[in-house]
Amino acid sequence: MIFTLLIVTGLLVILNISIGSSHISVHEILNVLFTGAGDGHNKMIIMDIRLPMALMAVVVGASLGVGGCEIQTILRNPIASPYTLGISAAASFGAAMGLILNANLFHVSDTLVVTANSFAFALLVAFAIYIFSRQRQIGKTAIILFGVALNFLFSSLTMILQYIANEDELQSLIFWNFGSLLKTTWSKFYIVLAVLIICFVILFKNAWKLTAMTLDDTKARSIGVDTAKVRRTVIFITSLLSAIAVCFVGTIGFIGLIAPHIARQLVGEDQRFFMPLSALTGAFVMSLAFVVSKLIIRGVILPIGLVTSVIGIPFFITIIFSKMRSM
Amino acid sequence: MITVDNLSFSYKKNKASHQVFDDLNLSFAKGFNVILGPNGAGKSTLIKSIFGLLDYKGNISYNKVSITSMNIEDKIKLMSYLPQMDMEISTLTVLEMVILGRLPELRHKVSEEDLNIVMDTLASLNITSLATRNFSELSGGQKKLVFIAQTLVRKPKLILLDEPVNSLDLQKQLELCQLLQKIVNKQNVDIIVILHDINLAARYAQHIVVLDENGSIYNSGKPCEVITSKMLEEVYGVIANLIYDDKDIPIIAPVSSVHNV
Repeated sequence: MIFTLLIVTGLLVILNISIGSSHISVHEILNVLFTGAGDGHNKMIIMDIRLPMALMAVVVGASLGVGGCEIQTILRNPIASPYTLGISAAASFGAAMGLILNANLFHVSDTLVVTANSFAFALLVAFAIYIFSRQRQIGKTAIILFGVALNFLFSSLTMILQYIANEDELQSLIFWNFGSLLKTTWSKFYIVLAVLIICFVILFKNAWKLTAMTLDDTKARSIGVDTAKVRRTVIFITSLLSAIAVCFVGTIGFIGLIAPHIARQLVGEDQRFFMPLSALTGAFVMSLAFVVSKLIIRGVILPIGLVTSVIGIPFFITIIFSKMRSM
Repeated sequence: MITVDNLSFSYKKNKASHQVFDDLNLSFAKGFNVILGPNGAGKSTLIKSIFGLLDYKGNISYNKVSITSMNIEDKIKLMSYLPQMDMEISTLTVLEMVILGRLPELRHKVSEEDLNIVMDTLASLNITSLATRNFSELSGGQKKLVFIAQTLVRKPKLILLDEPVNSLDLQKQLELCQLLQKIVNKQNVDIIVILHDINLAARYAQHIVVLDENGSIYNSGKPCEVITSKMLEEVYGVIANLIYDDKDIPIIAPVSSVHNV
């Protein structure tokens, strides 16, 4: 299963490099990738533009897939995702501060203002949830409610900024919120990849403990899991994963929700398989959405966040209905 | 074995507080121990305190070594605990669920030793056929047996079981008690079990502790010393006849409640 998904995702990466304003044949792509030589501008287009974007789709999808998988596990809530905790809303507010108020909070270069602001606010929420979850007697429901409250708070703050924004600023913010891979660079890709690898290794080393987190808290504690500590650690790691992904590509909805659901249907909740498959499914769905985003309107690349939402919302409704039927 | 010294514990919610134990002192014996008592006497609270799930005042020790300040890793090596719980939904298979009981020893790839222990435990509970079934598909009694298997696979020195026979049929209740007795005798393991069935306690326990509704020790000792008509009336509020079988084990035949309903 994992092997098949790897191959299909690899094929989608090739397809993503091939499709664009100018079509590049698979033969030419393989030629550039393996020999470093290509016709005309093909080498530049592939190596500097399309390959980093195609790979960014893979690592962002994997990050959101792993994040969703672990958030659903520790909160024992199948409709939770990194967005449930308000991270996306906070990142969006950070971006809005940069785009509308021109607030350069960290005195970075102009091109990095939006990224830095959105990352800072996403991380701020991650820390807020981490500190909140450190309080004694804080259960999973309280954490979800706290996340939902932060979500509303930052959404409202963003709306206030939208209200005072001029037309250009408003358009920029709306476009940022759509989610897009178009501003990907190799350095951004490497940062997301490095964070993904570090977080994945930490989580994977604790796979059995995370599997035990699918049980009731008392049951998990009875077999030696410090549930509060695991929950805090996972919240921090998944928040970091989501914050990094969101700050570079904007809001990408529903990958964190869909990927773990598909993976769970395929391999159950043994985290030794569930987590890697969630990552791979996230990468696959994101790559597929990127292909679809280029095919809907010829010559135009739709923001990928729109495509993932269009795929995700019917799926989300299906989950709710199937849950209602099983109740 | 377990000794409890000056145990005090209160459940606190908002500003309200409910004191369960006030300076409780007791000792368990080696072997098969049973805690008896009416609802709300603090039986589960006592077992949770021993396992270290509650912040209590006082000291609890095992073979004169304090376990009150022991870290979770050492506690897990020493004892395993089956909480009292309702049915649970999980997408794990029975095998995965039971393997989790070996958590401190588990490596990424399940070792042959771990797998053998798990399969032997499933066989001892007659549930090998359930191994590949999804946990959520099982009946309440089967789920209980799976959790008992999960508790037993760690091979601890002390096993704490909170109402393990609930939702088991009569045959399974007897088989479980016989298995626990066998574990005590052959593996030199001590067991503390909470039971509501006084007949089962009388038949299998080596030592019984009776808590009254105030969370105090009413009596403790051998079954034939502890299980009396007087205890049943004063602790449980039940008028009952006691019959003794050929091994002098008391069998309780309840007649009525002391309250007119």
